[in-house]
Amino acid sequence: MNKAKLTDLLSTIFDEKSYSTDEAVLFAYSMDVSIHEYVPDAVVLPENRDQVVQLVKLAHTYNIPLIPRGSGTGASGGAIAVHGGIIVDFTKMNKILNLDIENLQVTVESGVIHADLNKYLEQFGFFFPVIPGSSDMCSIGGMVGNSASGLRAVKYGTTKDYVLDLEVVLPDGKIGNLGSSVQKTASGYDLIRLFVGSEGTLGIITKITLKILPIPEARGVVSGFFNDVEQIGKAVVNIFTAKIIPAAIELLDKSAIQAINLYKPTMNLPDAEAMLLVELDGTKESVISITKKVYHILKENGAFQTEMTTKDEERQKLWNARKLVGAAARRVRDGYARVYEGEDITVPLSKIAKTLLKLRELSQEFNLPIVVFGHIGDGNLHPAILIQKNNPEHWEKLNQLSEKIHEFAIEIGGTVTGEHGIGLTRAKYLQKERPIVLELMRKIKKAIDPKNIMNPGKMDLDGGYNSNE
Amino acid sequence: MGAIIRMNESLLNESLLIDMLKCARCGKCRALCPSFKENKWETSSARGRVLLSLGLMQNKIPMTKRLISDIFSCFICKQCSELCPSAVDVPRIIENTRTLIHKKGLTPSPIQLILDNLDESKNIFNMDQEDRLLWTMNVEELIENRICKPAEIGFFVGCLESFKGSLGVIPEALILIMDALKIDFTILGEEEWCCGNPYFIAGDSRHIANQFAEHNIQKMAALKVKTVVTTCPGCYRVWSSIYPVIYGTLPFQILHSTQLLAQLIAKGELQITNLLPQKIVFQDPCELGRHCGVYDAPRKILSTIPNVRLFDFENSRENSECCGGGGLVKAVHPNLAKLQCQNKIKQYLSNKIDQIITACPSCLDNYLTSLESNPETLTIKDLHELIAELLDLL
Ligand SMILES: Cc1cc2nc3c(=O)[nH]c(=O)nc-3n(C[C@H](O)[C@H](O)[C@H](O)COP(=O)(O)OP(=O)(O)OC[C@H]3O[C@@H](n4cnc5c(N)ncnc54)[C@H](O)[C@@H]3O)c2cc1C
Ligand code: SF4
Ligand code: SF4
Repeated sequence: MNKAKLTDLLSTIFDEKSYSTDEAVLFAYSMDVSIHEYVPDAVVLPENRDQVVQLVKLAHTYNIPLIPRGSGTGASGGAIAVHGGIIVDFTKMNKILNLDIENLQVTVESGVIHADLNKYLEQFGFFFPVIPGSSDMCSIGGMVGNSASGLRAVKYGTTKDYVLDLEVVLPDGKIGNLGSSVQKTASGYDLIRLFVGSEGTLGIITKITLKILPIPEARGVVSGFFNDVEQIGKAVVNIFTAKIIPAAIELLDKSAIQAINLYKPTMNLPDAEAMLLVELDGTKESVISITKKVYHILKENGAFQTEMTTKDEERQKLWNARKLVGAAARRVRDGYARVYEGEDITVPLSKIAKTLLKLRELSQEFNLPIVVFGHIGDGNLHPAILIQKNNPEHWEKLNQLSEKIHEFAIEIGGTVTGEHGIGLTRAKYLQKERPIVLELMRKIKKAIDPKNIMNPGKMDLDGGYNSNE
Repeated sequence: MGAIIRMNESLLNESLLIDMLKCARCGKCRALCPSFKENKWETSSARGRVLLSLGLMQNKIPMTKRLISDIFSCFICKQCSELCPSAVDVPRIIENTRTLIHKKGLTPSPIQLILDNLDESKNIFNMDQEDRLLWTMNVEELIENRICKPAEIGFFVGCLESFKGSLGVIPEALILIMDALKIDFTILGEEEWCCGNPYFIAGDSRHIANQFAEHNIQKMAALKVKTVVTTCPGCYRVWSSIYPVIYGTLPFQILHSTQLLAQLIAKGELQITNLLPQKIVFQDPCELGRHCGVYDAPRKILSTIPNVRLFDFENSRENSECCGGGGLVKAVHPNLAKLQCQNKIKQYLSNKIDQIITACPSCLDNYLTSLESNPETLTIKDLHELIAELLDLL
């Protein structure tokens, strides 16, 4: 469709401040955090569900791709327009609609920023416990889209464990609520779980009801510095065998420690092969006692320096630095930039040490720095590869390196993505990793979105439209 | 950012491109950017502006009206780069994009007008240079024998405070304080030219900006001043971080007036005994705080006031949001500047602040306009005025 016609159509739904076909604007929406770049035909910023419904009907009539977008912090190319079309940016739909403390739930529009929600809930003593590193930036819609998880997944699980209800605009413009406002239901297929993690390929989510939990009375953090990565794996296993379920167990390798020191020099972390960061929560008494226990476990398992704190400010400083270590990774090598490729593998807990060693080997083989950190408590590692973006040879090497990382993860019984999603970046691995699942996904996608207007080109789903099934 | 002026163009482009490519697009700056909070478009966020700049530099996009508008809705407040994990100097990138716009003659007309005024009259208002002393009405006898006379301290007044009547109280107060403390000072009077800040902020890279620098430096040097003091954080930033890039090492030190007053307090030469039983907050001016790292001096002064309750909250110091008066935004998007200021006022009201204190003519000006439509009890005052009042000088 030509630009003038598209502009005309959009102007029937949106005021001029809420849509754009300006070339410069389109370029700014051609990327998320991944390495991909595709320019959309238009961008709209709806303010309410009715506008979304009208837009979907229009797209359905004219076969225009729609790409929902929260904050564009996704690392898999999920929010970009592979086949052109309209980016539906939810930034303006950012209202917290209803807090129902009695029933432990909150209902929000999709564009609400995660940190804003938790700041709001904090006043009432509650929180949404899934805390991604991108908390200050990412939207709840994007978290649902990607089934995001985060630092506290060991104890609290991931987004999919908290979504009670979703209001969805389906590809033909029908509006549906997929869940229920009660804490559990066995009524029919679990379509909530289908839509959580669907990466915008099945419909547009306009409203989300989340289960919330009371903020624990106290929290403690233990940090341990190790010179032998093998010991880390043992320390983690020993924490669990001591019957302790930490809220978070994070790992930072030597270069990630260095990146934190460069980003926040006042942290002044010691030089070590790796660092473990363990967060405990619960009642005041229990936190004091398990924090001490974990402190000793780390010591006994070879940590050459161990520290613990239950002070909020110190704890917060550590977490704030940890949250952004991925983006700070580039600081360890001048002139290099961090690229999100091969960055989200999850491996069996027993294979963590082996994976760390493999990553080091690959870094040497390709002569590219890899800064490693991750949610070691659930085996989710984030190898951050650094390249010189204006060096074509580095792009070539990056392709091969990320391929090797992904293949290694699959080989040892892991997955190519623990939380960032498939999108475009990892589409080619789905067939290899989960062929039957992909086959079923394609059937479901075709049934719900026969015209393939919802975020086409993602998750290797387009293949489903080429067959006659 | 002053370095832009001197650098060879291809080196500059290369270094800017490397800076843009460093961006991981994590969005941290987007979440912090005050103009994004209002406008909600990616292109009015820090991350979006880096992408627009990258697109332009790589010739992937044209210089559209919308692009120009979004590049000029940046307050150059530096909140983005303060916390950027990848150490991207976003304001420098934006200022360079403003230069590209200026080179094409596409600078928004209200800003171009300011630049034309500077070219023509050496001040932003296109007033006669003789009118630079209008603000001295109430302190005439204190300065008539000091203008362009050799002295220890050269007080650089700046255009806003010299010409805008409502802001004249700032230099007046400092003069009263310096006179009361028997400080040997001079001012340049009609010989003072604008510091040149609008050229830099608008991205006007013509050599003329250097002439302003050289003129002001030479005038002060001729008076053998040991220290140049400014009350305006914009002038302070230009004198302390841009002039040395243009001119080399300066023959005097540069202080913001709050640093001077804090030094006098530390030496015991300035003592405040009158009470101020109020809860106050200091609005950190972006060009003083994040751009130049001066946070403690104003707080040292304010905290010596008996009975005062100086309130710092999470949005203070490094995290303080722009008042809306920065980056020449007010000239192109007056509404955005006002909305931003009103957001700040809301934050202060919810923290039950009695009075906002600042040490910047742009902040004062923007708050004065924004508070007009605000019937609440909150007031804004310049720090120098407050001190002069507490010393019973005003
Ligand atoms: C520094 C940093 C740290 C990070 N840390 C973590 C982490 O700890 N854990 C983690 O899981 N991820 C993390 N991420 C990745 C990313 O932040 C998450 O995937 C996040 O959930 C994406 O949210 P978003 O609002 O940016 O979504 P976007 O990137 O805009 O979109 C993500 C996907 O959701 C879809 N979508 C968005 N809104 C809707 C909607 N309303 N309806 C339907 N589909 C929609 C999009 O189409 C897209 O496929 C991190 C990223 C960065 C940059
Ligand atoms: S904070 Fe820095 S790395 Fe992140 S998007 Fe902004 S400029 Fe890029
Ligand atoms: S300088 Fe301020 S207004 Fe400009 S992009 Fe950065 S945060 Fe936004």
